Amino acid sequence: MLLGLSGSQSNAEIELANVTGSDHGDGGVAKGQLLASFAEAVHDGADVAAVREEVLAELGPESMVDAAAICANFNMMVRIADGTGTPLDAGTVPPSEELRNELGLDDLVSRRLDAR
Amino acid sequence: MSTLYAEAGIPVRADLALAHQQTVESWAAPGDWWSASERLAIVNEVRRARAADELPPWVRPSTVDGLIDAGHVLPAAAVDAVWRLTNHSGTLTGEWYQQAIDEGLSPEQYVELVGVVATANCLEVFAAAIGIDSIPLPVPAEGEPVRQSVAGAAVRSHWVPTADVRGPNVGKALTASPVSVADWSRLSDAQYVPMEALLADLTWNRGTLDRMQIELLAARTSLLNECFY
Repeated sequence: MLLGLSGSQSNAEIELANVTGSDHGDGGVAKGQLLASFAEAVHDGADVAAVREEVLAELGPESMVDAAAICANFNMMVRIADGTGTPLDAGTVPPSEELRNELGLDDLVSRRLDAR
Repeated sequence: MSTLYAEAGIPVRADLALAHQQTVESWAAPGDWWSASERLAIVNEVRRARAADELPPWVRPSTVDGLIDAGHVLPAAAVDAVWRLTNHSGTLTGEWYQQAIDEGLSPEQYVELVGVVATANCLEVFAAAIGIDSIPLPVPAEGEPVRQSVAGAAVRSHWVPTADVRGPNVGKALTASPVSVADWSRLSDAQYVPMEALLADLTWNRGTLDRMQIELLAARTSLLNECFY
């Protein structure tokens, strides 16, 4: 949701397809395809050296480090959320319905809603 | 100033390096419910789980011949939880959590274990992403865990007990373990967006990646891990 909200705040038209894979172009985010590829390479491990070099060349070392830190951070956050049974926040359940459908989130094993 | 990444050959921000340094020091200190030796053993199991040939989610490493030492400092239920949280966090269920508790972990021990597993995976991912080796672990400090329950902590909206605090549900998740709250919030502030700017300033950035780039990386990583939240 914060991707869409930050896009609205910046008057950018964000396409959420890049959240599901890196083969959809930039999606309204500068270097979005490259950054999605970096997240995938960090997750899979296989091509990370090659994609890292591309990020270094395109965005510079400081941005590469920050991209790595964000990927690291969300490898922490997913384990906190899924390890503790954290439900979706009550106020975000209805507003996120369209987004959940678009991204297929309701099919995940980790689906937990809190309708209170 | 931390010298943690001084030899990395890559410019790691001083505040980021310091947050990582403080996390390593926290692993090596007594926690809320686990000793320093036990906390470092959890980190070591995270590293072993990440390096091992991946087991299916339903196979517990403690049942695989030769994988876990019989004299391990951690109980088998803890080792199994570390591996499952590390390699298959998107498959966890309330029934799985309850089984870990039925096998002898207290809910508070489990919460602290989640905190160490999460931060250990975080630093492992960062090292691999920037192309350096895992951080060497320090010697465990002496001393006993605090072993004091958080006043008012109870099972409310999560599987685990949480303190009666306001805020987003993920911010409540580890509140039964104050050490874990300090560890994850320090890392999140240095790696992602400071909590005070999270919703208040949707264009906040560090002058490197813009906020949309930050949120794309966050969302793609969460979905790759099959995380609904």
